[in-house]
Amino acid sequence: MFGMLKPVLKNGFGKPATRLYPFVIREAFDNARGKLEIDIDKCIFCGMCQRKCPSTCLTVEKATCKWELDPYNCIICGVCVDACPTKCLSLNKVHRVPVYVKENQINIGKPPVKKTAAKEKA
Amino acid sequence: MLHNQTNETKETQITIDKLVAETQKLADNGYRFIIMDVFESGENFELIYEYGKDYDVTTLRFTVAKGTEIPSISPIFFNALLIENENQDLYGLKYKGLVVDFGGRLYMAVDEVEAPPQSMAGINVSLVKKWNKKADTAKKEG
Amino acid sequence: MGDRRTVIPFGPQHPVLPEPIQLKLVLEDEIVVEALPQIGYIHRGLERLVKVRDFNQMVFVAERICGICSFQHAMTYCLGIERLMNIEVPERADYLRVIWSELHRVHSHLLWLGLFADGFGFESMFMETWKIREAVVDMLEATAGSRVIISTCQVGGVRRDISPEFLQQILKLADDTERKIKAIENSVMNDYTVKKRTVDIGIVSKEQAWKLGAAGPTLRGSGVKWDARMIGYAGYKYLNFEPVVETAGDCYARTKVRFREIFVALDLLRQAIAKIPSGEINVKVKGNPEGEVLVQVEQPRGEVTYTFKANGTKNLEKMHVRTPTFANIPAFLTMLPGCELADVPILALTIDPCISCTER
Repeated sequence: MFGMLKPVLKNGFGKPATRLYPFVIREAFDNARGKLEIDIDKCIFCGMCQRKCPSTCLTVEKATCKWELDPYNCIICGVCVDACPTKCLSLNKVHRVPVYVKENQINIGKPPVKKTAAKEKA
Repeated sequence: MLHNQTNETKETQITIDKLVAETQKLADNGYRFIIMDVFESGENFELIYEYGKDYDVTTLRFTVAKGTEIPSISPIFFNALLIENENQDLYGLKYKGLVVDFGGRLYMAVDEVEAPPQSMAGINVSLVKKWNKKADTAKKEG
Repeated sequence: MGDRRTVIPFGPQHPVLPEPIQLKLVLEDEIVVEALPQIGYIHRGLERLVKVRDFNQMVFVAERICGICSFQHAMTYCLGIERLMNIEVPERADYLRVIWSELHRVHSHLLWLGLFADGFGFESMFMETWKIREAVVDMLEATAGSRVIISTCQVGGVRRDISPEFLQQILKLADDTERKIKAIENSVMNDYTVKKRTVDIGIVSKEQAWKLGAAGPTLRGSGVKWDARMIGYAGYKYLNFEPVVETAGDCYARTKVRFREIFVALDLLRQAIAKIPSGEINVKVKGNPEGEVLVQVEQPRGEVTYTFKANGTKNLEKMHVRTPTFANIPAFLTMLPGCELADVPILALTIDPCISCTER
């Protein structure tokens, strides 16, 4: 009968086991997967990320140099990060915040410079 | 069928009228019923029943034309009734002799679906892909 | 006077049920005479997605069939496709899969223990076990990236590595968890009230459990020594352990099986971390799968069976999943007649229901 007495006293008179969120926020772990980010200057608009994505949340248009993400459909699995040939995608460790209106994230970049043209210049 | 197990596996091709007799023989030998599969090819359904004892697995396979009534093994193995009722819902198969018959309403509510969802009947895969693309563009615009 | 029978609907919304299932109970004065189940509240049709997602992307669908045993679903899927394509997974990936599986087993059994205690009113035990579970889930986030659905298994191996510092932290976590669980063992297993609510309730005999196709602790609590990990998939072929068996067949025996399995899982973690070799964590996958295969893997609730059929294209032709709760429901339906109305929540929780697995 007295088996639970020790935990009960510890919980009653010790400090609480929960944090006072949102006043106290725990720092994210280093390996945590929060949201997807892109360095748009390095992107060559090959469309590899769109083909590999399991939840079809990415749209890449080569003609207008537009990279579009639906962040509320994204399952933050990281397959696009592994598949990107120029390594311009990365996962931030802080999770995205809740919002009132869902909007897509659109990044516009510049057209990729062809390698032969760059060699001629150099 | 290949198995991810290191022990013996055995496969037997039978006909539909031998199903209940073979199942009774396996039940008397101490086997239990594991899983049942339905593969669709053209106008036929291929049915595969798997039974297990210790770590070995035995398979019975047979083919039926669409629309035939299949004898149920739920009087021998009570746990087959859930899978057989599910196949009535998802593929439109018909069983006779079920211990508890939900009549095609195990998963689907009344007045909900008209065509068997998992059957290939009426499903055009390229059309499904076109619908997915249309749904994505509609989501982006609206 | 005629029959004094009433029909009471249990569910789909009920405080003890984690997921919706409906039972129509026919009662005569407080004793249950018949029960008819009705499922289908959470049917998502996930198996149909094989037609539009290719076999590499289906891992992410397979792991979302259940939230608690999600890594074992992904692992079963990968084992099946690897068997079809004759891929040999590197040894380090086998050990990493064992480590993540056993962490999932510990967190699932602690979750179940809390829900079970809450089912008969023991709320303090619910809070204590979920507090212990929080440290395990934090370790999953620190090593794999998220708390619940960890997305680390892929066809050909695993996607992330665990560094040696984290392996040492997992060892420390195993010792801490064992110490904390031993401290509450008396209040769970030797308490007078718990015994009064669980001993001799819902007895399933050994022959019945085998013939009805029960799985997991429902089968091992009735005396049948059958554990799918003895088949020797992934890293289990390098480790030694014995399946946990009890003979009484009632709710108390099943609780004891799950309780002892937590200690076995922590021991497997220590063995795996001591023996893990260095090396690659995945191999490249070329080509498409072809053929048929059946795979069985031990989840916390029992053994799950996946069957695949592939025809050489990048979309599988068919994937069929039979989860352990699907196999335990007939055993549950035979336990119900003869029990009292107040025991129905205990019986519903003793098979560890995961209804979202059942109707994927």
